[in-house]
Amino acid sequence: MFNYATKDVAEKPELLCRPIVAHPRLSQHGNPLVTIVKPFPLPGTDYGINFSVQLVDVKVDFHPGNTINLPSELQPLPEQRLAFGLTVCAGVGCPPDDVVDQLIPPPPEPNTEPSPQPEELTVIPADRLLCTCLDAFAVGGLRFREYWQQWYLEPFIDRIEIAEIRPEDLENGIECIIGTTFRLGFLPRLRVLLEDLTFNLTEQISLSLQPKPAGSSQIPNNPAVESDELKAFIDVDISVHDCPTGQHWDPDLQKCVDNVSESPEVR
Amino acid sequence: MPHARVIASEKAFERLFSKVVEKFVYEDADSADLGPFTAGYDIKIHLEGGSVDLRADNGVHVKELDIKWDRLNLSLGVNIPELCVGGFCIIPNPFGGCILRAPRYCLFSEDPDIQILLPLGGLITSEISIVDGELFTRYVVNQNRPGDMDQWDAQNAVPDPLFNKWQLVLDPRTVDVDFIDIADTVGDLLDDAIEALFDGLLSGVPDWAKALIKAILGPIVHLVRVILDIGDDIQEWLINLLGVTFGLQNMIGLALIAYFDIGNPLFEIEDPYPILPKAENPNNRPNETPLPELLPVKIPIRDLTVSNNDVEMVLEGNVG
Repeated sequence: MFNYATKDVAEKPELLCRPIVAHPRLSQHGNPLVTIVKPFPLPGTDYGINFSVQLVDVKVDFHPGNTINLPSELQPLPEQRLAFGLTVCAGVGCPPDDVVDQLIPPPPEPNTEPSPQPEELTVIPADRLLCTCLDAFAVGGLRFREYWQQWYLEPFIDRIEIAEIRPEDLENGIECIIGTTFRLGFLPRLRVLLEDLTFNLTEQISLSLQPKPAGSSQIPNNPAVESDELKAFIDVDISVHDCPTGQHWDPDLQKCVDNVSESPEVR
Repeated sequence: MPHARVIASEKAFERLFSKVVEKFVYEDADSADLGPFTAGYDIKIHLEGGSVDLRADNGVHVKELDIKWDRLNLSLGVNIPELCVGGFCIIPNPFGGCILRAPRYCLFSEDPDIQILLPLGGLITSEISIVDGELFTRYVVNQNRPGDMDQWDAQNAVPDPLFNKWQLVLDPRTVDVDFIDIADTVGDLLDDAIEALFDGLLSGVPDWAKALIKAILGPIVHLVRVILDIGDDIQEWLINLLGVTFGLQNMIGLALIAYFDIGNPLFEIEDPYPILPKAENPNNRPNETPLPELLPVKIPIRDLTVSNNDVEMVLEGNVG
């Protein structure tokens, strides 16, 4: 789910730090295993280098926490919180010295205008990536948030820690990169939209639930993360769509549409 | 511990139930020859209200589910023995026969002679109870899906996906249909209908003949009631006619059982269940032909079970 790399690496997935084990049907349907990103720019140059970032393992442990061994900085896992255990692998395509030597720019030609800055970086090819994998741990929770008049159940993190690296500022910097990427790139994809779930009852009748978080003094924590479970308390409004014979309710179009023949049998 | 558990309060379950049951419509019409008279009905009903009681023993009871009669027309065909008056001789012929006879009027020569239509829709109070219902889940295989089609091809079938479904179903098991009451005014309705029909039959008859016919028949309402064998309690007679003779209570009960069992689950979800929708290919580039969409991420649901206690319904299942 979370495999990012430059185009050169995506086209040669054997360069990735961790091979991606995917069902062959994904490729048959033209679905990519890697999301292509721009090369990592080398400051002061028109060049970029290949790289990849992969989230290769994610574990989740609800309070009280008994499957992820958190580092001391994050212990104990607070109430109503969950722990993430992550393994992140990153690789950079460090070009060989002889290639770099050939790319060293000559001095500007006398009495000529400097050439304009190119729109695209030139990627320095690499036949392998220098890879490293880091274990990271995070403590976070879940909350309800409303976007665009729809309610979502979304995860968030309070704090992230990686294995000890010296100097400490380097560790903090890497934690910042991983944490920010996790917050902005990975966690939003894990939102659960409490969208209008539509259940077909018959060909003509369908049922829509319009859920929203339940607000009650009897529910001190909603959602609640406790007893190794995530509990979300939701109020639902129910409406029925009654379509003419030969049609059914399409929740996307919000109207009755013609049926395609389908008659289930009971097993 | 199951991977996922959905718990619905009794109140939420009641709302779900009421929304499903309010789509129940039953229509029927029939007639029967009951000897001295014929009777027929033409009905259309729907259901409203109902209070759901989840039971600690895993049962589901529904009380006070009102039967709303959108149409309840009862037709009664009454055959009265033919009655002729007049025709007697006014001026006899001394040599035999009759010179002048009074006109002869015959009534009730048809069969039936009186066809009464009683619109009872707004007069009957009735309700249904589900006495010993039970919730269960079932797996429904899409009949249009070839046996060797896997989940991937089922998802991408054209024009629509051919996924299978899990359904939550209420088996009412025992349904009690109760015709509680018929309004007192039904007696007046019947009597007025009989009087009007009788007056219609006599409309072309001279007054002397009318008087003679009424003297012979006595009160027509009484006569018709005797033929119909109504007795003292017309409400009881009607409830017996509709409920026992025509068996409407049984038919409505069976129709409700079939409504839930055959085609109307309380809800259904596709299997595998989508947790991420299909999405635009992230590697699309501006001004280039779009790449194939990302397939939705779906998880198989297995071991889906349902149970309830006296306060909530519990659905549990595993994924993978």
